[in-house]
Amino acid sequence: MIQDIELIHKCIEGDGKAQRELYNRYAAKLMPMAMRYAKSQADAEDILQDAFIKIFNSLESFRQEAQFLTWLKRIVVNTAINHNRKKLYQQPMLDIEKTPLYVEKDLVISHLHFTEIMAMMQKLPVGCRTVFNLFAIEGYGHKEIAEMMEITEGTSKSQYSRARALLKAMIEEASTVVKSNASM
Amino acid sequence: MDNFESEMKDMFDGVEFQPSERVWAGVEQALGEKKKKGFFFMWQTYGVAAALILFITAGMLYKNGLFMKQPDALEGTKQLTESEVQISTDTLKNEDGAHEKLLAKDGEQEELRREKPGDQIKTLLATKSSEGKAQETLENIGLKSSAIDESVRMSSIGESDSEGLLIDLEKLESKPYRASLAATKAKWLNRLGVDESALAALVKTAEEQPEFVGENALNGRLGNNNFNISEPANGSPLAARAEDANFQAMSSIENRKEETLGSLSAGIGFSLELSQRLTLNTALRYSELRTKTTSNAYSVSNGQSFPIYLPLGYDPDNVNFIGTYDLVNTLQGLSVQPTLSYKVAQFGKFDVSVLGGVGFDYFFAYRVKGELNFLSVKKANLNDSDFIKKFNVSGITGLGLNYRLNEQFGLAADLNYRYFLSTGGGDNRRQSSVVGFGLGVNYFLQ
Repeated sequence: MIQDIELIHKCIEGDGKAQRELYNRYAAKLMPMAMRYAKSQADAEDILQDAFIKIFNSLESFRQEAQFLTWLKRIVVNTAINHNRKKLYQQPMLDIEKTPLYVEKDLVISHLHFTEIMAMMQKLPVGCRTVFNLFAIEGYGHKEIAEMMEITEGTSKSQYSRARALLKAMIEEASTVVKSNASM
Repeated sequence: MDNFESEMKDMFDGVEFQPSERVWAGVEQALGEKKKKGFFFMWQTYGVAAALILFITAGMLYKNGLFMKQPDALEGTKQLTESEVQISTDTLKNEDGAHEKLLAKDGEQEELRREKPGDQIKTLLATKSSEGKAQETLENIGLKSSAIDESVRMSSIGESDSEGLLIDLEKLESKPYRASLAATKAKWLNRLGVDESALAALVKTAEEQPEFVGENALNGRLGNNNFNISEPANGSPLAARAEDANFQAMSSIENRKEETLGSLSAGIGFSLELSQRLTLNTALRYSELRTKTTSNAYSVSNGQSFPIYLPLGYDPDNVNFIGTYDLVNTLQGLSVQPTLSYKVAQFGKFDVSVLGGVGFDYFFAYRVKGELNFLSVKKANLNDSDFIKKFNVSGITGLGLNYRLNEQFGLAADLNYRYFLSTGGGDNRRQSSVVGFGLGVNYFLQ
């Protein structure tokens, strides 16, 4: 199989087959990422499409010291944040003092399929969903998230707590349904 | 980060999900459009530049005589012919028979005037040779016997004495500079021993300027424009709109500073030669003036998505943010351009002119095209805003290069600079200019 770096060079030269090959190689890997930030699959596909257009237009700026997949993921994340920006303004995010307290419980999610978790994440308000993805899945710190989303660090933390609480509530509810179905 | 976050992270680790085919279709379309446009602008910009270089190179080659036809009936030569005929007339006055016949009738004399010098002497020699008096005749028209001997020596290679002499004389016509042909020929005749008074008359005639006859020409031109436009004089229009309700959303929309893009122009014109150096030109031209910028948002109106270019405004309630994408803005206009050109140099069939004049512009459309496949082209209504003034005046200066192909046709290349007095009105006053170059064809009216 042709190496990534060779494929990248061909894409830069405008080779259509190479572009399709690169897309085929990474689209399915990046799609779940876009889905986590979107409220629907169609929305996720819009994000992925814009991200790939940016990827092909900026391949020349890719430096080989970074892992290619990591570089691709960063572009998808940035595209998703831009995509959600208007919705973020329309649904102002609360700061930490206004966040309702939630009693922590240990929850097991291994029995759930990722599509179920994805569906739960898509139900989160856009701000919570974006911050949760950036912090829990992508591994960014609250300071970085605050800069990326043009919010305060406190807001990032409060949004994360809220997302966490809402997700746990949804997981707990789903688990209860599973248990009651099993006992029947 | 506790187990919950770790489990969540693990759950999505290595997961794959195939998107629908419409994603690739959109990507492919966006990439295809970009390639197509890139080639088009590359052709315009570099194609015209290459043509200019070709013209200049051809000019240099011409100057070195590489395109020169050997025997040619040209203006300078015609003048020489007249003087030579006069010499022939004077010297052959007392000759008998055939020579008097040559000059007796006006019609025949006129025919002789049209002939090239080599042909005249050929005719003369043919006649004289047949009578065995060639040497005597040549002496009568001023050639010394040594020169005749040399010609006769050379003639031994050819079939007859007269042919040999013609080879020698026709060499005199092969100089590339037509204007200096007469002078060069005079030098040669001097070397051959033509008497001084005849030579002086010859040189004088050769140096006389032909009477000026102005030519009119129709012309067509295809060119390339590079449009430079400044930011509005009173700051970005965005600042003026920042007090609107949805400030946060609006302040996040960004357009980068506009960059110039090559674009097409085409036109027709008429030229009137006022003197040997001064020409009045009028032209009607269609121009597309393009700039490139970026946006990070689009708005939706009546089910259509439009790119957002801040100076044109947008609906703040229907803004969608996406990744940064390119915008191509196109201003379309017609202009009437009266100019005066002054010929500063001439090299054979080439001449170089400087030009200056005024442009009267009418801009009738402004289009904003976002380089994403789902975006429609946004058209500005120039009647409702001061964004671009529909009527404008520009100053024009430039350099022109002309090449005369034949009596009817010529080629032209030009490099020009246009400065608009003010592109926008009110708060949108903007300074702008165009650097352009083009190629054209001239058709000279008889």
